[in-house]
Parts: sequence; structure tokens; C-alpha cells
Amino acid sequence: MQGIIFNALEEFVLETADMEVWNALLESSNLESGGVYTSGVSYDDAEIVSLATNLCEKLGVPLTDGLRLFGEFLFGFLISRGPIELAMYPNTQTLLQNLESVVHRDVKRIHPDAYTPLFEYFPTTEHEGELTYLSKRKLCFIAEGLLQGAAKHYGQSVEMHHSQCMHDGAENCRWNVTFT
Amino acid sequence: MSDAYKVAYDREKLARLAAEKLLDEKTREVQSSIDMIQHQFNDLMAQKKEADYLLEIARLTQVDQGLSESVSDYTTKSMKFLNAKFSRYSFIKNGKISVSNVIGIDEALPALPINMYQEIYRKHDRSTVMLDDIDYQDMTKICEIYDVNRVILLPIKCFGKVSTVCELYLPEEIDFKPETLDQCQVAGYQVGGMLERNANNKKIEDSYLEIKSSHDKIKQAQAQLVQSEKMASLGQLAAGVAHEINNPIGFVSSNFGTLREYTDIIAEYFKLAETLAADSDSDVSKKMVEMDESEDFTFLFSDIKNIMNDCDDGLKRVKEIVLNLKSFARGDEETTEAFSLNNCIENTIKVVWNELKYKVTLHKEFDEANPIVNGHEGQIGQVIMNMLVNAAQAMEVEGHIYISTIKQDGFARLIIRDTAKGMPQSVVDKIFDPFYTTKGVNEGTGLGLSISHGIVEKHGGKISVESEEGVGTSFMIDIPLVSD
Repeated sequence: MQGIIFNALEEFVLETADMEVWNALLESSNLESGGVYTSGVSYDDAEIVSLATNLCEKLGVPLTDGLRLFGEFLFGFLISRGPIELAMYPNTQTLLQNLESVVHRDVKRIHPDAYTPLFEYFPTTEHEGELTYLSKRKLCFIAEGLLQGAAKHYGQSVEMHHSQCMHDGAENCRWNVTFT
Repeated sequence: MSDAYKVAYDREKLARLAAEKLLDEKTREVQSSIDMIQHQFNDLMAQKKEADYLLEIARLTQVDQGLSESVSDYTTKSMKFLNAKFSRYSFIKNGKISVSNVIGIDEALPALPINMYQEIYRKHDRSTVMLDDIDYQDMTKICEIYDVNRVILLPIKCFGKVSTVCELYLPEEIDFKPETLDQCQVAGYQVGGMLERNANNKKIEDSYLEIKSSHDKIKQAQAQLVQSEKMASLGQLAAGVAHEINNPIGFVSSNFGTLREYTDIIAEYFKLAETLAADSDSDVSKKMVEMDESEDFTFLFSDIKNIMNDCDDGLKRVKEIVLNLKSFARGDEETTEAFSLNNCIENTIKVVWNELKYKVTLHKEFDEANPIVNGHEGQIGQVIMNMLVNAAQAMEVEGHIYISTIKQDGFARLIIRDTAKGMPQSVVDKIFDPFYTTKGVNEGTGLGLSISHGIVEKHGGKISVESEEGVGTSFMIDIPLVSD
């Protein structure tokens, strides 16, 4: 997992709680990295899982909800760090359609070792479509949050129906999505 | 955390954010530069490949080789250039495929629908055909085995017509710019141009040979005409001289008979006179006996007989020479007749003997089976005479001429070998050329052997020569035998 995600999580904790919570979280999570994260470096996937789980426990929030909220926050964080063109797309659908060919490609150019999830969007109408997600990390709830964050960024709202999930043994996750 | 630390912390965070963003930007820039360099490198490699390909084609067009090799080379090189899996070239003659050859695989390749070739033939332009569109069982199988999905058809134009179509079979993953195909097409034009050039060169060469051969024939005919004109005049002269000599020889010969009779009578009378003088004592008788003793009439009469015999022989020889002169003069007769080659040689030797006798020792070895050939005896005699005179002239000192005949494989072979100075190969090569001579001005016309060559050829025979400098020269003349 890229350091930037950990940076985002730190920011998320500082925003929703405070520095003490984040310090305590780092301390209790027994991390190999020692909680020092640099955006361009890859860290063990287990660290984000352990941080997220501990955080939700501390705050008393269900993990899925916590991940969703973080995903929503993550989008805003990433868009502020990525190339300016991303923020200029007209809507979420356009972003989804360019995610692999533009966004993830750009990530791979800067960080050739980075592992990026595969998002594919198949529009059925102008406002409706099917979104698939495939990742070895199976963080579909963050994905949901990311989409919510994206919709918010582009001034849309989105309804998502999680029709298929990797956690149920499916080969990828699927959502029927409707933008308004 | 105190407020001062909080402020400092937030500032540091912002600074880190800015630094990371800057790093990302720089990384992006570096990556862009690398991408650009990679792109330029790829472009350069592609250009190099194109240049190499065009250079190879240019080289190919400089090599003097046949149609099949050129087209095969072009197809192979284009196949390599486009990374095709295999290829085929087909020659088109009168709108139909005449020959097809597959390169790169051992299997037979099913023919493409004829209309595809016809389209190329009509349009003079390349085309790409997706093999899925060709509903041939065998083609589908080939496509599966070799993982190809399309074929590029490239025409080669020669004299404004498509003479060849090259098919290059490509796998799906290979993609290239239209310019790349343009290069192949241009290369094809180059090959076509070369084929045109070769064809033109061949035509020019053929025309040149034809003209040269005609020119040689004209020269030969002219030489023969000059010679036959000369021979005709010489023949007339010879016939006239022969006729003129015949008359005096006739009466000299007949008078000689009478003279012999008279001499016999006088000899008989002298014998009686001798006896009479021996028996008498008169002064006249004594003088007669004295004269007989000093002059020896018996010897005189026997010598007169010898002289008359010699004269008779001489006359006979004159008669023979005149006869030969007459037969030689009949050289330009139109009708042919069978004659003995051995006799012809003998007769010719008699005519030229005067030229040879002081220099040459002649050795004759004639086939006893007496080869009979058909033709003009006078003309063959002329050939032999030429050889003999040339041989004698080539002798700086005395030498030998060996003349032989033999029957061999339906031909009468005549060999005239001399021990004169021989000739270098450069002379041998030109010896039958009209007007070629090694003799000085006014000594030779350079026509003799050229005419001899023509005469022998006219008789359906052939003449050849072997020579070694300082050793001598042999002429071999083969004339067809009269079939039994």
C-alpha cells in the first residue's frame, strides 16, 4: 500500500478525532514502519488493515462504515495531490472511464511498483451503469466511499447497489450505480 | 500540544506536502523525458529498420539475377521487415496465375480467391485482406496453426502491368503505420523497375547479337562475292589459257610421235653407214669413223631417246596440269556431284606443287576406303589449296606438311598439319574472321580462311584449327560422306 494512503488516514484521523488518537493508534498497532509514512513508498498491506481495524474499535464504529467514511475522505485527499486535470473532469462517470487509462497509468509512471486496483465502468444510460472492482486487498468498502467522495467532488450524488462482492467469493465486486 | 507546536507542525506538514508534490511533478517530468526518449529511440529503430530494408532492396536491384530470385528475395526481405510469419509470391501472366511459391512454411497454402488477385491486377495497388473473411476450410486451419489473421498483398509492376503479387501473412498483434506499407510498395516498384531494366538489357543484347551476326554474315557474303568474282575471272583466264595451250601441246605431242619414228629410221640408217665406213678406206669413210669415235653416235641416239621420253613425260604433265586447271576453273558451278576427296587432294597438290616443292616435304596418308563426298570439287580444292599455301608461307625454313584423310562418324575428315611456326591463341580466335590477316599489305586479303570456312559450312561440314606456337598448326575439316 502506497504511503499516500497512510498519509490520508492520518489526515482523516486528525480531522475526525485528534493527534492523540492517531499517536495512540500507531502505538497500539505495533507497526513495522513505526508509523513513519512517506507518500512515494510502499508499505505492508497488513499495516493499513491493522490501523483501520484498531481505529474503528477505538471509535466504536463498524469497520465497513469506517472504511466507507475513509474512502470518501480519501478521494478528496487524492484529488488534491494528483494532476490538476483530474479535478477538471465534468463528472464521476468520465473519471471512472478514464481511471485506468489516465489516473492509474500516471500512478504507475511515477511509482512503477505500485499496485493499483482495477475499476471498470460500463454505462447503461447517461446516468446509470455498472461498476466493477478487483483488488487483491478486497477493500470494496473504501471503493464505495471513494465513489461517494468523487460524486460529491463533481457536485453529484450517487446511489450504489452492491450486487456482487468478493467477500462472498465472487471474482470481483459489482455495483449498479445511479448518478443524480 | 502547545499552540506554538501545533502551528509549527501544520507548517511542516504543508512543507512536506509541497515537497512530495514537487517530487511527484519532477518524477513525472523525468518519466515524460524517458518516455520521449524511448519514443524517439523506437522511432529511430523503426527508421533504421526501414533504411536497412530499403538499402537491402536497393542492393538487390543492383544484382544481375533472374526474375524468380529477385522476386523471392524481395518477398523474403519484406516478410522480415513486416515480421510476417510466412509469405507467397505468384507470377501473373495474361491475367492468370502462372507460378506460385510459398516462403517460410513447408505446407501447401490454399489459393486466395482469384478476385483478390484480379483486384490488385486492376488497381495496381496493395491491399490488406482479413483472413476471417475468406471462408476456406484450409485457410482457417493454416491461420490457427500459425496464428495469422490477415494478408497484405503487394503488387510488382513491370511495363505498366502487375506481373507478380507478393502475399505477406501477419499475426494479429503486429501493427504498423501505413507509411511502412508504403515503403514495401516503393521497394516493390524498385524491383519492378529492375525487372524492366533487365528485360530491356536482354532485348538490347539480343538485338546487338542479331545485328552483329547479320553484319558478320554480310561481311562473309561480301568476301565470298569478291572471292568468287576473282575466282570466276581467274577461272575464265585459266580456261582460256588451258584452251590456248592445248592446241600447241596437241601438235607438239603429235609431231613428237613422228619425230620418234624419224629418229628410229635415221638411227637404222646410221648403223648401216657405220658398217659401210668401217669397210672402206676412202677419206670420207675415215672421217666418218673418226667422227663416230669422237661423238659416239650410239650414245647420241640412246640419249636422243631419253630426251624424247623426258619431253614426252613433260608434255603429259603439261596436259595434266591443264586438265586440273580446267577442273579448278569450274569452281562456281551450281550443281553438286559426288567426288573422291583423295583425288581432289591429289589434283590440288599438283596445282600448287610449284609453290611447295622447294620448302615442303609432303607426307600423305589417305584412307584406303576412298571417302566420297558430295559438293563442288573445285571449291573443296580451293580450301585445300588455301591450307597448303598458308602452311608453306608460314614456314620460315624447310618443313613438313602431313595431309591425311579418314572416314569417321559419317564424315570424311581431312587433317592438314604443318611444322611451321604456329600461332598464338589471339590469332587462332580470329583466324576465320573476314579480312583478318597476319600477312603484310598486298600479301594477303584476309579472305582465304573466311571463304574456306564458308565453303566447308556450305557443304554441311565444319572446319576447326589447333595451333601451338613454335610447333605447328593443324586444320581439321569434316565433310559429310555421301550416304551409301
